[in-house]
Amino acid sequence: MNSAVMKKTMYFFVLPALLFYCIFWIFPILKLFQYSVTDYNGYVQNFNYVGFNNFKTLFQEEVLVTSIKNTLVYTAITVILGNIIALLLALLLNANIRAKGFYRSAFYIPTLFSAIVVGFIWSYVYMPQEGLIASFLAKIGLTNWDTNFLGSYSKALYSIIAVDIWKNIGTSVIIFLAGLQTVPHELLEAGKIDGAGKWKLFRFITLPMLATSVTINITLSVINGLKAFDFPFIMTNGGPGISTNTLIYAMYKMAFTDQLFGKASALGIISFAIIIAITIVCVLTLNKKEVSA
Amino acid sequence: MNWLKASPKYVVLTAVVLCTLFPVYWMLVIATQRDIFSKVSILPSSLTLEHVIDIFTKDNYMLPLANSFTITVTSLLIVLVFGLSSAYVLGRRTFRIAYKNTLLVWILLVRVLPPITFALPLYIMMNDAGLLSTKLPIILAHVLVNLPLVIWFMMAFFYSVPEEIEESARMDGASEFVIYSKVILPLVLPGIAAVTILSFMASWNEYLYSVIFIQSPGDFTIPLKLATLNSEQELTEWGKVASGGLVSVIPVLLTAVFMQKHLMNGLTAGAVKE
Repeated sequence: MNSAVMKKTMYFFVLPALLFYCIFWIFPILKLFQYSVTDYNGYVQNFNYVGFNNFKTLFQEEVLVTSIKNTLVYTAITVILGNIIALLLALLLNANIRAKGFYRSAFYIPTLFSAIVVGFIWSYVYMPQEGLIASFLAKIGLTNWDTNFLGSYSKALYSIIAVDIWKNIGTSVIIFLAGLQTVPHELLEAGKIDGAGKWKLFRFITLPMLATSVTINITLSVINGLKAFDFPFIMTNGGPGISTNTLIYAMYKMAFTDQLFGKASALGIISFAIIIAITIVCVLTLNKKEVSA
Repeated sequence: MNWLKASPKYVVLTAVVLCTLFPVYWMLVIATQRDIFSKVSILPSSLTLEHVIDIFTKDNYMLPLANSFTITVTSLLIVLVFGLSSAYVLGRRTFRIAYKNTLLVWILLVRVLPPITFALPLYIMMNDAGLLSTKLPIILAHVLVNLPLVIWFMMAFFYSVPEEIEESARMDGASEFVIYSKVILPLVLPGIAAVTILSFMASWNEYLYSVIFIQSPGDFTIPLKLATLNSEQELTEWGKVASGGLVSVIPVLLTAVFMQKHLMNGLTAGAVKE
């Protein structure tokens, strides 16, 4: 058999998955475009085509801007802060440390819990009076701090983001550690002999060698951030007000609480566009960086 | 002196570990204490298994456990059957590059697009078909999100199998299916183990699709059951939710401990340039 040509029968191996996706993924997404120009409520089969009214209403409402802004803030902080902390921890662990395995496993434990359990633990941590942080602050005599973390317009979003970082940091640490283990020791020694300081060794030897793990970690956390739903849903219900609405949360609420499927679909189309744009930019920049490094 | 030099590292690491584990430890305390609000102390004062027993006897916790198990295992099996055979073909050297890029974009899209964009219309489809009272929609949803991961992950493993092995089996007159199932699959077992663990963990803890696609309390998965315990009554039953949460993490924890090597392989695959 000519190895450049695949046997026709081989296509049967891909067919099931392909069909599955056409029916349950591509078709629904096409339907989404249809629903976005209707006043469909999700229950009554009769609906009218209303043109771009859904989009017009969305652009007039505060919830669109707020949820886009929150999603971007959520993504930016989890990506930047989460990865910097993870990288620092990985660097610490990569040094000659005893019980390395213990620390690595300990960082990974929160990842094992489901979002609902994590949300539950942290609601307890954040409780205004009896919570862990509030009790701790009271014990050391700081009673005049505002400890209403999840009920405050200015603090709720950041409190949720902290939980997300706490939950996902273990995975990033493991990926960075694996990358660090590929940095050749001789290269670092050579750098040292040439008189490079710690920062220079890191900047010009370690970091470029880490390019692949950086790409993977950033991609994973961008995807995770853009899809943020669980913690706003579990911990704050998008509130107070709409201050912790993310795109996905806003869509969910429009569709299932307010029963505005048409409007939710329109919001779906908008976030579709935003998320694809961000992903393309990320992939392109990271690919370029990785190649040049 | 060496010890002194290294100690700041240990101080920092230990502090971070405390921040990481203290909330988890606190859950353990809540789960094993009779009345949490009367005496909040670092060490549990009255150890009790009352809450754990309660969730099984009073809240029928076995049912959501069984549901989660059914949904996770069924979707995992479907994902493996579809995903492995697709990855086998797509991971072959002879597969045309043009298709490969299309595939890459598709896999990326499934991962990055807001899950709700296909979940909303799928919900309507399932509602119209009268299937919302069954476990089928949630199993479908889990297959949809895990399939691309499996295909993407396994492609690299199939790629690393030398094509000569297939050729020689073909010479011996083995059919395509026999080559695939008897010759190739056993060679990529480590990859299958890794991706199975990752998909299992993702399915077991999944929340958003469960909220959308599971309607009848009889089908509730663990996360949904915990959510009702958390909100149904006016006063959250902290002890019950904490013990339910701890019980739910046991399967995942056991997998992570006993399959640690495969889990690590799964998490770091692709993180290292070869």
